[in-house]
Amino acid sequence: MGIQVENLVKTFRRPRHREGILGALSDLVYREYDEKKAVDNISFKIEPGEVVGYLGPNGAGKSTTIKMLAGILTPTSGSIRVGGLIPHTQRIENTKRIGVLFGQRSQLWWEIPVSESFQLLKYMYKISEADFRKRLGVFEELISLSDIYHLPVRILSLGQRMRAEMCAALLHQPDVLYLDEPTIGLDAVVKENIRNFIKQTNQETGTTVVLTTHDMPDIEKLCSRVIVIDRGRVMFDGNLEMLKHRFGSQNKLIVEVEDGLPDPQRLLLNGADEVIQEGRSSIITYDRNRRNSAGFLSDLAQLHKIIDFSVNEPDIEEIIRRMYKSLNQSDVESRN
Amino acid sequence: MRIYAELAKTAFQSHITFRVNTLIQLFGRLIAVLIQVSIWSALISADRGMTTLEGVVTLQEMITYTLLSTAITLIVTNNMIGQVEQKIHKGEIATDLIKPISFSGLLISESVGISFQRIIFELVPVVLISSLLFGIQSASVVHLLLFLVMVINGTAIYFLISYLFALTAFWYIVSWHFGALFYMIMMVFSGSLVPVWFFPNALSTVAEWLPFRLIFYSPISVYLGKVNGMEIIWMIVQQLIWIAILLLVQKWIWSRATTKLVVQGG
Ligand SMILES: Nc1ncnc2c1ncn2[C@@H]1O[C@H](COP(=O)(O)OP(=O)(O)OP(=O)(O)O)[C@@H](O)[C@H]1O
Ligand SMILES: [Mg+2]
Repeated sequence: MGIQVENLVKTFRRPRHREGILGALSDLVYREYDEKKAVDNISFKIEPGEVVGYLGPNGAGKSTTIKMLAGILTPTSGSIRVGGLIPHTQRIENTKRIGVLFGQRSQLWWEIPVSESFQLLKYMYKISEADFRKRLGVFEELISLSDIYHLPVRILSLGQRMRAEMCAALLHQPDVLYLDEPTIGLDAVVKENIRNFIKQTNQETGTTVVLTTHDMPDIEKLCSRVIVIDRGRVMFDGNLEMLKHRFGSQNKLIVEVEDGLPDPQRLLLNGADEVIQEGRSSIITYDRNRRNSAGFLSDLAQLHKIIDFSVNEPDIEEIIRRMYKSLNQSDVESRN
Repeated sequence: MRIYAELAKTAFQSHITFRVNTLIQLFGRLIAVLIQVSIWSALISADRGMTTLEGVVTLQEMITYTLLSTAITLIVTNNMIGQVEQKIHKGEIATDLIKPISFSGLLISESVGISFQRIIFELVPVVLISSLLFGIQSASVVHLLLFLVMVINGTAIYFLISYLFALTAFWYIVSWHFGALFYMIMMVFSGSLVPVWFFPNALSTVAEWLPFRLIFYSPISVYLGKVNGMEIIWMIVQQLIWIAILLLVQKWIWSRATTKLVVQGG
């Protein structure tokens, strides 16, 4: 099922609290509001079966968008179509075809065992006994539930609970899966399990996935496409290769020379963007579209004896960090 | 529909843990009944009864009234207002709304489950113990059945009204003061503490126009044989009319509430 979002806006009204006792009293009489555009004119189109990373710094409006896609929040303006349905007016119809996971919340029943929560979901989504058994079998293979299946949710560890939550979100085999920070707070092994689970589900059932995360390996492992937003606006929409090309041209050359440290000033003059010296090694950052490692190395070799060197291409984490940083800078520039 | 029954069952099971808590509550209820019975015993002469607008009321009738009113309280009591406030305050409402069930259905099913738990662990012992202590007037089979039907209708009215008050949290985030208002109005106009017989004229006219008396006062009057056939039918019709009105209002308010909803927290 595809998703179409056009000119989506969500404005929150936040009461402005005046200071002091007098302020509090005047708040009682007349309350002033600040308007906050959490989502500011966002448009995108997602094809069936795509896995899209929906990224952005804290407070960018990711969760707000997901809540609107899921039909929980009503947009202030703009339109959303998920497989032809308008989520907030056709909430119940829509929820039958989507699976949602909020990393910080539980959708299972706290007091009862996982198995009974699943039974409730089975009635809720009218899943046949045969399908139910079959899917539990698949989950067992992919993510192993048997160790926690009969425990009440309130005693599960975060990682155990997240495994159960993932299965709960997928039990009715939704066409679209929204994941809001599905790997938050998990250890490396569980993270990897969850990622595999998402990947397998997408490949085998063609589920469309929209996923927010601050965890870069999630993106590399899963997303063919990323949409980056900041302050409620789309800043980038394209595949990972394009993102790397645009924000990932900064290479790092790490050199160690025999006699002390090379002069950073000279390296900067030679076109390095940044030089950091730690212990015996110098980390030289440069733009590979303009300079190359051979240039720096041959210049260094004139004055020093080089012991060791390595060239690192930026990983996705670095790319995103640079991107967020450049978002901030362009904001400062536009304000000046 | 199956899912709502299952939700009620789950709520029933999760509350079934028989704790010291339940015993303390049971004790509290018995004390409350004792106090009310003592007050009525002091007010009403044991052999002549008390003359009211609706004729003479005997002490035994008043004691029965108190017991039945306590029983109805135990059936209808629910915490929807607190629950919805909590769900909105913490943003847990998000996980309810991603499920293909109606929000009212979810809340009401859970409340019904908890009510069943209260019926078994509080209502039955309280009524048994206090009717052994103070005696309860018996009713004809017909009156008893009509009483039960009217209590079920009354419970529907009570749940729908609590649900409407609970929805105010969608607008104001904080709704406990609406809850407090609701309990005050309910206590006075339902006749749960003082039967409408004893109301001054003006007050009983107001009560007549509100749905609350249909939850406590009307079913109990039927049980006590204070109303005749036509009046009983009219009371049941009024109950059904109120249920229909509340269902419509509920639908309308809900459609507005969803546009007002803000889900707090990431
Ligand atoms: N209920 C609300 N009332 C007022 N403002 C809100 C509300 N919910 C979110 N906001 C504001 O909207 C903006 C976007 O919030 P949102 O939760 O969508 O961010 P996010 O991209 O998910 O961030 P994070 O990465 O931290 O989870 C924030 O500035 C936040 O303060
Ligand atoms: Mg978020």
